[in-house]
Amino acid sequence: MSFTHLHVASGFSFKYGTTLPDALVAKARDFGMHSMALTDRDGLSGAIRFTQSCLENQISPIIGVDISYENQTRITLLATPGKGWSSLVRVVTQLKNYGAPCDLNFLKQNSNYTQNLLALHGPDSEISRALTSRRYDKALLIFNSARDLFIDQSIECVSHLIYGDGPKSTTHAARMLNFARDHDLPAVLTNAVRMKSREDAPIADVLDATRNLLPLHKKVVERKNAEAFLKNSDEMIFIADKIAAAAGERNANQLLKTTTEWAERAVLSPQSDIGLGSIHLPEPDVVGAKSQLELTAQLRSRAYAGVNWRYGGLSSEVEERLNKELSPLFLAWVMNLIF
Amino acid sequence: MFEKSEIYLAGGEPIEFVHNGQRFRIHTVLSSWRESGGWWNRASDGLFRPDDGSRILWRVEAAPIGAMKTFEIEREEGVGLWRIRPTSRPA
Repeated sequence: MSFTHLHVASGFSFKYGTTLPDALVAKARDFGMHSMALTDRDGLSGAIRFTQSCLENQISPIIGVDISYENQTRITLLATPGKGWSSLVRVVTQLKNYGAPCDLNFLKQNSNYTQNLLALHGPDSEISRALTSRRYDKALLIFNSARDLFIDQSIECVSHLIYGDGPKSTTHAARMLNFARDHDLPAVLTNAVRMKSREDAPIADVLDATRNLLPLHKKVVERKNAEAFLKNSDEMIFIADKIAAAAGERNANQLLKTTTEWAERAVLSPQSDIGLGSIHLPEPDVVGAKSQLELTAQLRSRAYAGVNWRYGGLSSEVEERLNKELSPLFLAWVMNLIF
Repeated sequence: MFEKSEIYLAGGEPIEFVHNGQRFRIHTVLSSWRESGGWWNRASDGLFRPDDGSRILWRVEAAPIGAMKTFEIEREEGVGLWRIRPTSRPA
């Protein structure tokens, strides 16, 4: 059985993830995994690099974002094929303009985008917080309040095998799983990855200290152990078994099966879904032109105007380059790339 | 605390151990978890030792071998008489 990681932070989760997407994808390929998600924190900066290395390594990309939610919680959103990727980009852009952490109000305002996304409620989510304080009713209320906003939502079970019964312990993961089972909600398994391997743990510690602008100390460092790394399928099945056993299930088959199903729902095509290999230029009507010819003419006059503004006049060197780049031949070549 | 312990494993998990010269059998694993040490507290010797002091812990219920015994408890329904007798395990 091949496991799919649905929650992975790369180095593009600034001051959080330790490893660049390329190295994570290469490791997933070495494990014989077929797909993998990149869910960086509050941004999509790594998504294209990730997709490119997925193409090189024959891994199917899944793209999401791990956004900060109100009350210092987090929620992970995954794009689905079709409109998912563009919706995800819109949501992230809107969120940057929102000026506050994401909340239910924001999600409702952007429901025409979020309805193309899947949501994961992980160990840092509001639902997890409610379950930590044994507020099962509140957890269900939170889940239900977002029911119409996404294609589907799931409970994300994570065990980093830490001590106690708080988030990222096996006991807490089992509590999340039991909550999902009690209310017939989908539950998936992830490892909330932020490192490539155990040996990267000191880097993660230094990043935690830099992010918080505090000296290295037990209280500053987020991790209790070095388990938040990209584990192979067998290691993940081991975790799944532990969680399932703690939740009183006979085996982890259901948990692993749902995880695979969710991975399949979120796998994107690098070309048709993300648009890799195509060039995006504005349509003529965006700049007020009626035809392609008018667009070219407008481009020429704008370029000349720009030269005057930038260089205070037309030197022969600038003119030569401008003529070359605006020549019908060059433009035809660009158009050829598009159509 | 740093004494070398004699542990008997099955599939990487402890099942029996010797403590104070007595051999214990683990009956229940109450919980198991992993921890790492604060590497920044260690005086550097110039060598890169990622995450030193990492360890796996098991909290278990164990009893000396032989301390667990099997009994049969019997109640005579008619008179409500109780009887207790030791028995061998596979009875």
